[in-house]
Amino acid sequence: MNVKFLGWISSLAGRREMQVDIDNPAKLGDILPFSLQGRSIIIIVNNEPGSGETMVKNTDQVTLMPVISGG
Amino acid sequence: MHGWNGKILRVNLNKKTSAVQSYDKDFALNYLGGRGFAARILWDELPAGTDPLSPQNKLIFATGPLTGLPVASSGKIVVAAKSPLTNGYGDGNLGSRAAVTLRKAGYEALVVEGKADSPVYVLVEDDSVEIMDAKDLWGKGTFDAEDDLTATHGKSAGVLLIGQAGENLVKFAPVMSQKGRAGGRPGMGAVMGSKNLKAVVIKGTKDIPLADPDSLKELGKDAYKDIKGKESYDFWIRQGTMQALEWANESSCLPSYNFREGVFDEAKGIDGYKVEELKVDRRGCPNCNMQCGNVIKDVEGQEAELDYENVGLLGSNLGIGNLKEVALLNRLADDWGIDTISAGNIIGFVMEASERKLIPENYKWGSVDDARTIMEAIAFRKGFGNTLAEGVRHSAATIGKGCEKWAIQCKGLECSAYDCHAAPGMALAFATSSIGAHHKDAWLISWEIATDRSGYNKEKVAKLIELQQLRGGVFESLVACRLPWIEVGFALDWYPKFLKAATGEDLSMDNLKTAGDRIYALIRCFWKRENPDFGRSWDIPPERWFTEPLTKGPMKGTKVDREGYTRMQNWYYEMRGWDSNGIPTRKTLEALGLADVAGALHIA
Repeated sequence: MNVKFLGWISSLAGRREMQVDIDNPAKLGDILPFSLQGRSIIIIVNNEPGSGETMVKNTDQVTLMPVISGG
Repeated sequence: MHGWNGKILRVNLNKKTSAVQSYDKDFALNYLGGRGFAARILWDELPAGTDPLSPQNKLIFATGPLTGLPVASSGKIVVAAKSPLTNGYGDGNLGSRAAVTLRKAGYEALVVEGKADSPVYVLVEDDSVEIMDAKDLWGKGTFDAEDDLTATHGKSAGVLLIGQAGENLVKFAPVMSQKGRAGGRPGMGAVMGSKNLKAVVIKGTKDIPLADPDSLKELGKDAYKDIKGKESYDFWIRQGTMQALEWANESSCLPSYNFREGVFDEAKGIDGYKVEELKVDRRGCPNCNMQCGNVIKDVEGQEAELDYENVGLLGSNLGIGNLKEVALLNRLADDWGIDTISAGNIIGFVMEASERKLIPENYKWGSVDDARTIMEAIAFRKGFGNTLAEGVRHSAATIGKGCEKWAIQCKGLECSAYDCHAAPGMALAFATSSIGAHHKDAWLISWEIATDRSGYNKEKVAKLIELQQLRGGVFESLVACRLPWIEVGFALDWYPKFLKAATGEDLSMDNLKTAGDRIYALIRCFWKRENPDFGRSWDIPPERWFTEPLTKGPMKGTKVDREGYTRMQNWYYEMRGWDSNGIPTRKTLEALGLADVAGALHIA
């Protein structure tokens, strides 16, 4: 599974992208290198809105993005 | 009265006179300041049908009860007038020392009326007001002209001015300050030029009257500390709004090739990480600890200040993937005093017209030289640039042949840097924004992508209205920058606390939102009064988003569904308390204290 971290989320994750191998579908929140609790983060799984509870699998594309306000 | 000086300065350029007008607390509480003051003054004082470039139009510089105070991001000023670009209400805000000095000179607003016989600038020094000769400044770019004025009047002076584009009445010339700050996209700079007014220079030394200055000082300190402590703060300082470029590209909403696509193959060459590589300085507005102006050296070695909107429109929208080339275009636009968003939008339109062989000129996507040629022709109204200087709507109508479908504008104002093929709620936001397609009011895309970007539902409409209340109503009238709130999560409940300490008034967020609704309804009525055919057909986004699906990226094949859009448009009017043609009902206007406005429009 590929996970992209955009904006300040990349600082939180310590990287801009992460490749994870998971044998069985798992909750996204359990795979991330930081807690989602109390944080305002947009989660996209395969172009659809997701959450920490979303069950993800190895072939999924996940993007975590900050909430932004425009230029 | 605390928090507000209670005074508006008026300068008449015909009569070469000035006067001070007092206003009362009711006016302050109902309209707050900034946009609210400007909208009410224009409604009350402008004769219906006023030619925007005539001496009868009024140019308003307006601050609010938070401007210039020692609180977060309060160094902004609104500039407003009837727009020569859209023929409706026009305004914008910009960061400037002049925001602070106007308040310290003892005024919330400066209203400029009439037209000078020859180029002038207005000099305000506390109670002294002079109309000064500006013949030596006329014809200069904003960078040199501001240097000259600062050399004459000192660094403590706030300067608001226009470049050659404003002098030449380019209809999307904004007002500029501090070599890169711009506000008033719908031609506020052209209105200034039409008055032969090159600049406004303001010096102020007075104290702003405050209810509880000690508490405000403490609150302000705490707030700055709170902002600096947010976990997103450090990254914001690194990239500022430029982080939006990667965000938009990943989300298929980065305008590319005249808003044909939402992704750009060369995005990495112009994104926030590229800015970090090239950055030589950072600039910002007064009273801000989130300075967002990233300065890099352009291809000619000159400094240029970048933010996302500039780069989206002058970069990917033109097929330019070299940030130093984008910076060159940005610097020229800032110096000539031409709006970067509209300029990038119109240059993209011209490049597409050339590609389709609808115009004789041969311009190429990705060519910075061609982009510069077009921009210079616009700023100085040379050749076809004279037509383009009227805006993309007018240019499309002039060329014809169906190109109106890909003239990317709403109500005549060119769209900011968010492609909406795959964001129907954001399309509605652009279409219902109170000045035309500008992201200041028009904002839903972040929430929409996070929740349900393909849906057409009432939740989306309700969220849009809430965001318009806050962004277009509250922040534009207080006047304070919205960026701390969303970008680093600075809580909204700070603002009633600031207001309590400044004014002594208990103003809840609900009170402020109601003021926002009042201001929105009044602006809507202004559009109707100035444009008798104004109605729901004016609230439609560009045809391209309905008919030409994206051909690239993860949202390939997506476009806005017209029926779904119409449903959301209907819900929007219902929730606003407007009729099915998008005009506020008498009941709505009366509830907002605008019965006189209903009467003037003969709303039954």
